[in-house]
Amino acid sequence: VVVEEVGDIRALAFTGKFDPPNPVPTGVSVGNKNECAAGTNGAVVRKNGVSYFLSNNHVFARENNAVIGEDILQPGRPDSVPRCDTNFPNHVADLSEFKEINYGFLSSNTIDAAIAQIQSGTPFTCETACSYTPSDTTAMALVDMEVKKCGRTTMETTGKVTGVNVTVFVDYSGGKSALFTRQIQFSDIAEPGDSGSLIVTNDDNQPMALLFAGSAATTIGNPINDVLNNFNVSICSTP
Amino acid sequence: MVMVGFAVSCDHRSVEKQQSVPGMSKQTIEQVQAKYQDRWMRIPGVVGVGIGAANGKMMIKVLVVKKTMELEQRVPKEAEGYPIVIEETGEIWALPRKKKN
Repeated sequence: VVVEEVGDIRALAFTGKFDPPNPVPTGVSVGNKNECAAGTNGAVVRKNGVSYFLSNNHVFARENNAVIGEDILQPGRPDSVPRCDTNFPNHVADLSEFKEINYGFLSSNTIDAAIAQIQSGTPFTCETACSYTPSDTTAMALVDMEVKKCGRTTMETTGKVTGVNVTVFVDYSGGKSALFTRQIQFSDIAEPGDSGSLIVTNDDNQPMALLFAGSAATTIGNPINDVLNNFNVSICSTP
Repeated sequence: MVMVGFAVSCDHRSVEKQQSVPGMSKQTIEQVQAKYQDRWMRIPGVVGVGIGAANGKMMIKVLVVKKTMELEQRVPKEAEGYPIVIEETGEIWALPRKKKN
């Protein structure tokens, strides 16, 4: 009985369902107040002395539908008690910028990303909930490199790069599809809710990709340098 | 125009003989991918094209919803000397709506 309870509590604490982590680490449940959906805050990024959580457009910005300034909650509403709570107790950040997703087959994308400024009253740490902190040096993806990620649903998982320079159609809600180029393909290291996780090299935690899509067999990430350059931010690498 | 001529001649079989032609260098795998991927992405059931490796050898990967006999016939086995492998990934979803089979 004791063993079962410990396992259960660990999983719940990870998403912050009953007892939101203080300070808020990276790699845990986050979501937009206006939908009952959860993803992951993959990293803290900075520019001009301001700190932001990094995740996907489809996590923070409701697939282009959000307005700048919308509330970002930790945990996301599927992980609140009661589920999909509308009291929104854990407002930790505000949507600052998102890269618009271009749907259809005639235009292409390289990132599905957004940043949300962390509220001044929110204690946070740049360390992941998996007890490692990303390095300040990014890594270029090469096939067979070993990687890991820390995410809301499957927590820490390890895998490897299985494809580079990947062009891929990705399905979104409402039957929409978007074409992505220059993507990095990984072995299956994610489940729904892990979107927004930062994928890093397994041995030295160098950021490589922003996890955003997948299937039952594979996981896809945006090249992290494209994400950082788009927002002109750098990854916080000190716990 | 000269380059086009070289590219066409590269399509022929005897690669080793062709490589001795002055000024003709083998195309990189990225160049070959770029040249053909639009064509492959238009094949129904194909969801992606990328570069992978097996046993230390680079290859082009064509990602498909389901590996069928028809796709095996429509996707070539190689392109300009680079092997092509069909990989069954299923449909790729932005992750909140990912479906497990």
